[in-house]
Amino acid sequence: MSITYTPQFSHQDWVDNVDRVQAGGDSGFNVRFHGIEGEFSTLTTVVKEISDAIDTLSAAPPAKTFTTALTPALTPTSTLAANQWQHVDGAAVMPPGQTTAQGMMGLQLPSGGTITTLRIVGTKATGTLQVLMYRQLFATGSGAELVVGHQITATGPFDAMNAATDPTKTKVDNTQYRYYVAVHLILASNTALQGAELDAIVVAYTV
Amino acid sequence: MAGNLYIKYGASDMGTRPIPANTPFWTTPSIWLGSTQGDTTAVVGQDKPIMVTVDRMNGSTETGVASIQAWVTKSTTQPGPSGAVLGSAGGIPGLSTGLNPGAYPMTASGMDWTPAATEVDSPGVFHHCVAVNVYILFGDPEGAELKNGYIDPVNDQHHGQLNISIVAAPMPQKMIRFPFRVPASLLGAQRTQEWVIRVDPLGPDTVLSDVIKEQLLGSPLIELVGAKPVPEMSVPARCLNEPIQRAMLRGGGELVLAKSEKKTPVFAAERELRDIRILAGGTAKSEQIVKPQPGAIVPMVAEVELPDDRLGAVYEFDITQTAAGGHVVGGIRVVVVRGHHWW
Repeated sequence: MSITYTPQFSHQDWVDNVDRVQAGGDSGFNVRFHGIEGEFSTLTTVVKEISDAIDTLSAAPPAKTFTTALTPALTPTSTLAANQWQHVDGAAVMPPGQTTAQGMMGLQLPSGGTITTLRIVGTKATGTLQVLMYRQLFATGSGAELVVGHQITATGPFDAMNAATDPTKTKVDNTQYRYYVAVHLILASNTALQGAELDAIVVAYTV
Repeated sequence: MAGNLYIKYGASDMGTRPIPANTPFWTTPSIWLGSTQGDTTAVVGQDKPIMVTVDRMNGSTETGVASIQAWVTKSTTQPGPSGAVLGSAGGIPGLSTGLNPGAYPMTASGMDWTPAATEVDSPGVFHHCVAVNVYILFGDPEGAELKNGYIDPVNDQHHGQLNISIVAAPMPQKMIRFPFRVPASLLGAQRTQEWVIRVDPLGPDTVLSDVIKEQLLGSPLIELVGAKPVPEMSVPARCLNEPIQRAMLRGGGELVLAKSEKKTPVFAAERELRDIRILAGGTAKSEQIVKPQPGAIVPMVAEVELPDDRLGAVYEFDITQTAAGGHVVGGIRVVVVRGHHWW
């Protein structure tokens, strides 16, 4: 929308000894001054239109939501093969007979973004699965802070989404923190005929 | 955040923290090695599942899933994930298991640990150094997952430490040397911390507590004679909620030196250990001050002269690590058994 202003008031000079000074009439003071008054009113309207337009331009655009879909590639954290995740094309798996699996993967998130949800998809026949998104200061020995996590105790397929609710931890700050997901499976039965499979880790965030 | 779960540091522990000063919390009755092969000491190539019993304050029922972490190290005064965890025990993240919702006290299924040849202490030393952490992440959370650092049983009820070494001292050996390690503050710490390392002998009245008797019976040095069989002996070790030795000792009998037809009973030595010192920096003192660089683990040696020559005598001493302010952060109970010369 373009904002324009065209002056409407135009003063016609009075001529000495010709024009009679008077209040009324087509050329009187009242008509002239009301004309000026109308001009100020028009200016006020135009200034407001300009102000509104500037406000609109300076307002932050609404946050957009993005998702990062990750194929689990879990680096073993335990030195014991019997406590590690294995991998097939497109998924991390814990074979039957194993009672525990531990692994982690790093996350690349846009600095300044706000983590909103963590979704996990997979299936398991036994045990308790924990998928935990942490942030941790760069310094060695710093403590890990849980941003959002899942605990799946039910058996069978799962497709679960949890919201990151602590606003003090959801803002991505890549200047201070590293971000990663730790995946633990505990309490699995070593006699179960099937193990577990983690197919997707989906992080949603707004920017 | 709730604070209900705890690991007992002693049989009478009700979960209150901090633990009173001068309490040897490293002889917990709630952590032990289960065994399907007999003795419960570390043996190369044998699975020794680490068993943990967790207690609960404020009612017995817990509705959340509890996670358990365990770390096994060589003799270290303050163990934990940063304390050079054995590779056979999972390395820094340690071993893990959990407890399903239910009634406490509850014993976790054993965390498999099979010692490797390079990890077992010298022959004649039977050692356990296990640190445990329990926590709940979801529902009504309590405790916290430990990714680095050391456990702090004095202030955190979710931590437990078992640190007992049994040393064979065959006759007529007059002196033993016991190697151990002292961890520094964490790598990356802002300043180097000063630690006081002490050795304190136990008097005859406090030697051979119930937990130590269990540990002795679990070693190949000692056997039990004259005891009545208990039903637990037919239960697989992993299914027990206590060490099998605890159950066996309920059947009475007497602890005697093993590997001999003559059943020599073990007993608390009448004479207290007096010549006992720590070797460090060319000096030998009962108290040493160390100031290691952050992240370092300092090897040290305790040297003990044995005053009693009677077969079957048992001595005990504690090695403790204390912060400058007097706060004990960890310790090791060393149990010395006077044994046969052919041991």
